[in-house]
Amino acid sequence: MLGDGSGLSRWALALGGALAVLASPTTARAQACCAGASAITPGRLELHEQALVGVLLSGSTGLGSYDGSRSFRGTPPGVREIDLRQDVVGALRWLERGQLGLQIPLHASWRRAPTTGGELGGGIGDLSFSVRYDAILNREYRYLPGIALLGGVTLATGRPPESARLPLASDATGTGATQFSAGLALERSFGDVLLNVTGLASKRTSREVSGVDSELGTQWLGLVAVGYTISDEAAAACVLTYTHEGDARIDDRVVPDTASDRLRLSLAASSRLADSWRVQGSAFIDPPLDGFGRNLPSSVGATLGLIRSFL
Amino acid sequence: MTRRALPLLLLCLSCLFGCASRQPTERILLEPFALQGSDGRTHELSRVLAENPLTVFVFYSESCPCVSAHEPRLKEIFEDYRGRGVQLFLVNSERGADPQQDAREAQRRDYPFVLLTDPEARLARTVGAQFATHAIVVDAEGLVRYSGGVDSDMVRLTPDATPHLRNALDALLAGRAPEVAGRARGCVLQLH
Repeated sequence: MLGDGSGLSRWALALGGALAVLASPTTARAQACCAGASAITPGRLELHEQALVGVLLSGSTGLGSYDGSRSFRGTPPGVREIDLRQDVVGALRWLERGQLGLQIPLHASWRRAPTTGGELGGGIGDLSFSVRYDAILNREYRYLPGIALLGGVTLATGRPPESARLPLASDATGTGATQFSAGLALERSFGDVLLNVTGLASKRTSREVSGVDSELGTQWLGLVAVGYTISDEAAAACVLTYTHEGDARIDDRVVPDTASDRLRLSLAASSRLADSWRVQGSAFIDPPLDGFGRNLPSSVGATLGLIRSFL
Repeated sequence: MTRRALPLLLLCLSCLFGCASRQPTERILLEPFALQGSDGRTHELSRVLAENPLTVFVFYSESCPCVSAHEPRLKEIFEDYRGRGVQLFLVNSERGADPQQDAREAQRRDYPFVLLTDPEARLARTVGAQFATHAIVVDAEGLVRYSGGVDSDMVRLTPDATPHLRNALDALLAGRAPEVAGRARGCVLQLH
């Protein structure tokens, strides 16, 4: 399913190592009440939070792209892309162990090419609703990790690429398809270290574009994160995210060589300003090297967020 | 497809989450049992309860910062109520809790109260405690009269926190039932 390649080998090694640590019977003595998880997933309610609202601001720029043979090619001279994104996030505790999430993205992109010149576009993106249910909390069992069931729906509220009005499609803000996601997250702390392994599968609905029925491939996401609790209220995390999307289909036929892959490395930190306020920051990069992606652009960027939570 | 799939997905998730919800139900200490204390003595629970009009048990986790933060307040509660017929214990109900380690920690933290070791989590499971700093108040007959948080704070102690445990003790000593049970906001207890 995930194919071959040097990036994938690294991913497999990282995942294997993480699972090996998860399976070890070390006594956990985590500090799960206060910090850690939010450094990895900023829009998630922590243990005793009942609701939260927040704003995440992110900016990124293109480094180049990976072609179909996983070779990285730098951005051609004269071509630039800067993407700004603002996400309004909210979460509400539904049940004692269940939470609902909402993410409203606003995009702004500036792109320039030698032939068309520069252009600025943007608008509202695809709205996402998510659910999380912590069947087992981290630390609850001595020999089991925390286990959470994940689900989500992303609505096609953004402007799809085919409806873009600008030549470089900088005003395209969505995929044009509704997306359903389901997954599983495992979480375990070892002293001050928090390990998170998450898997998510997403299926997009088919849609008609210019009289042709098209459907994006199923997307698989794997995330391995190692968080470190710096103090009772601050944490840092290193996150490795691998995304694979299968071949697209047109008129119910598979279109070869349209599958894509991406490996993203992120460093994140979270700190509480008070019991009900926390600030979140992260930086990410899609390594501009051969083997780390396929059929996708490579980016580098950063995110800064402010979260207000309600106990 | 979308119109059919969305309600189905929501229905499945509702059922899944609704069925999985768990609430503590046991409110009465039915079985007497003995716990090792940090004072080197074995404390027979039925005897402890019989000796005091009210006994407070606060659940403890060694590495939980919420416990460490609340230690000064617990020491104050212990001093303020000990002369009024209230005995206070901390309880380590975490799986594999070690009495010798607890005794060392109690000494290091200068606890004026006894830290009880409950390595099989019997007390926590009996009263449905899931988080460190969860407090229960039990009367001389073994009835749990209060079950909830020590106060409304987590790690940062604030002067305007609601003192849930103090309010409960004041009400019970005045012959009234506690009005509100505040939520316990500490770390997850490792009970299994």
